[in-house]
Amino acid sequence: MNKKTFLLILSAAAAVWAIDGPEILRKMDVNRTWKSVVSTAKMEIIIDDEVRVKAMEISGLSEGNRSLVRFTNPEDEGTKYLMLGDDLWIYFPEENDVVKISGHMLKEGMMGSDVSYEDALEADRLSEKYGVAITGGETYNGNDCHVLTLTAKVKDAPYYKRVMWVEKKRFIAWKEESFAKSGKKLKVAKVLEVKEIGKIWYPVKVEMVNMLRKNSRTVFTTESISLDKPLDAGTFTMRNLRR
Amino acid sequence: MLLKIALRNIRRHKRRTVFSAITIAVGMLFFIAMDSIMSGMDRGAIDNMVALKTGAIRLQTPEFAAEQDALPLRGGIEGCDSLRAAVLRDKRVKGVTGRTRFIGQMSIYTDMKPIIGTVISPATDSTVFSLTDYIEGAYFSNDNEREIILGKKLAEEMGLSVGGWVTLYALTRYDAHNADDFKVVGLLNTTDPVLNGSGVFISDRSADSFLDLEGLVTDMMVAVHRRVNIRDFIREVKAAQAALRSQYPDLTSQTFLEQEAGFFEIAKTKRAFGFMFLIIILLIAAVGIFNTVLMSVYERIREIGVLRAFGFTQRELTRLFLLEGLVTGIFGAALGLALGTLLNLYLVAYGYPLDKIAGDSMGDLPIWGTIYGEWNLAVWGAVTLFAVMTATVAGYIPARKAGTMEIISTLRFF
Repeated sequence: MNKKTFLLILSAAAAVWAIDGPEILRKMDVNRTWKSVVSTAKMEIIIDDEVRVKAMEISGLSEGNRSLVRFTNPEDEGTKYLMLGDDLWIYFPEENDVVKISGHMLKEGMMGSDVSYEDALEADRLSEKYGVAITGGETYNGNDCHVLTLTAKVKDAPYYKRVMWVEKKRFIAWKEESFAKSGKKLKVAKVLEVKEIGKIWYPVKVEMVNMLRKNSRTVFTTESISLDKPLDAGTFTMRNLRR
Repeated sequence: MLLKIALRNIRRHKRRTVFSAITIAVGMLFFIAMDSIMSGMDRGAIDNMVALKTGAIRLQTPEFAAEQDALPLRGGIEGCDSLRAAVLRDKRVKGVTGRTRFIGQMSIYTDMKPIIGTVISPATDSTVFSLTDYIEGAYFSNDNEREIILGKKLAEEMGLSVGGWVTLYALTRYDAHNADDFKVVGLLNTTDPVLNGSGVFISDRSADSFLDLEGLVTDMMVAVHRRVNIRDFIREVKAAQAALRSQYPDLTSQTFLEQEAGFFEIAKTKRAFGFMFLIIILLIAAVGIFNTVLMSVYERIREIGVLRAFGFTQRELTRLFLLEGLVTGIFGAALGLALGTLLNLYLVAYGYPLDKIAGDSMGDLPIWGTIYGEWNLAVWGAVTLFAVMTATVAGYIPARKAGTMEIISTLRFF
């Protein structure tokens, strides 16, 4: 076997063994797959020089897409969000009133931030809604990354196009840019810190920038988290929302 | 016999009679004008509401109606074109158009505002709404460019003018995020401050791709021919709604009264205050009438003494003055009605330019441009009756008093 033939066979084998886009998405989905989550988190909304801090306790069950968020910062103390499937109810303690928000409002910024409820608790598998192609490779923040371009294959995909910088070793999406159908860049999310929880690399500090609003960004920090612990289904009820 | 004497007395005391009649007429004229302007203000508000916001009737699917507060882009009306053609066959109906509202945000990057946008069909919208009457700049063109029409105040707040560009962000029908640049082609400076402060309109052609609407229309808006009298208009609207309900049992319908029930509740309270104001005017007019008639009778106490000396009984005297009061009242009321009709004809035809008179002093209160008068015949009937009765009763009291006085005392009375 001459050198040329050897290199040809080697590159063919490399092509067979090389990971492709869908496979990367599947591996990324592993990092986003959990049965239940209980966490405390902090959201810093930075608009120009002003910083507003929202603190919250989050409980969630991926089955049935159920979650409950209770705000604990003094201004919003006792305000709760209950999400059941595509419906969201907000409890306002001062008025002792519950307001139902329709499905598409879930995609609006939470408490005036650049993070939507959907961003915070997105449970859909990327591979279900997006076609993917590896469009490059870059080192991002010292991590060797694939650059993936995801294009919506269904109309209800949240964004028409997403470009992700995914670490080759641990399949962490360190950076993501989301685009509208018009091609306009809508959001940029950067993972600032990750934590290994069991087999999952969980992004515990994420910065979100809404590209339609200059001088505005939100930093979402998960302060404590436990995954896949048994959770009482009674947590996610209207009765508990008012309690 | 008594009527003859009464008429002769009226002729004899021409100046007094004319003065009393003018007092009655002026009181009535003032009342009629105020009632007409107040009704006109209500009518102006309704006309603007119907022409700029609600249409006369709105048709929706029950699915959309149940969730309409959240403005979902689903539950649209099927077969809009055939529905439109069918609804237009009703002679009461003036126009039909489709509208779809959506929630979004408007960005100039340094500022971002939440908005409720409206998708309109430029070809048919003007058959129901009068946006084109208030546009500074242009209406939607046939170009393929994305175009937007904004409330003037909203545009000013965001530093936008005609020809400028703004980025609109919204979720599509399938809840996907979308944003695109729109060219500002027109600014709306209407008589509705809410529309000026938050109106955002895009054409159905732009929206079809921007919101993935695929022809979705959530609201079919129906216009009914205008009637001069608001009661007639409401009756026509309700009749048209009843016809639509029986024809399209699968759709829900709401008249402007139902769509803006909150506004009409407030208007009811406002009307109660207005009614009290009119009662006060009426009382002031009554005092004027009473005073004038009373004075004219007191001036004639000596004459009453003479009549009594000729053998008139107290009852006959009272009836005589009642008759004089009645005739004077009828004369004054007729004059009041005639002057009121002339003034109201002017108010109905040319109106009262509140915006020019009040200028910017009304702040954010709805200024409805020119306020037009209303024909309120039931109220006119009531006020005529009131004026005649007041004049009649005003003559009764002094006549009765004079009737009980000694003849000598009446002859010395002055």
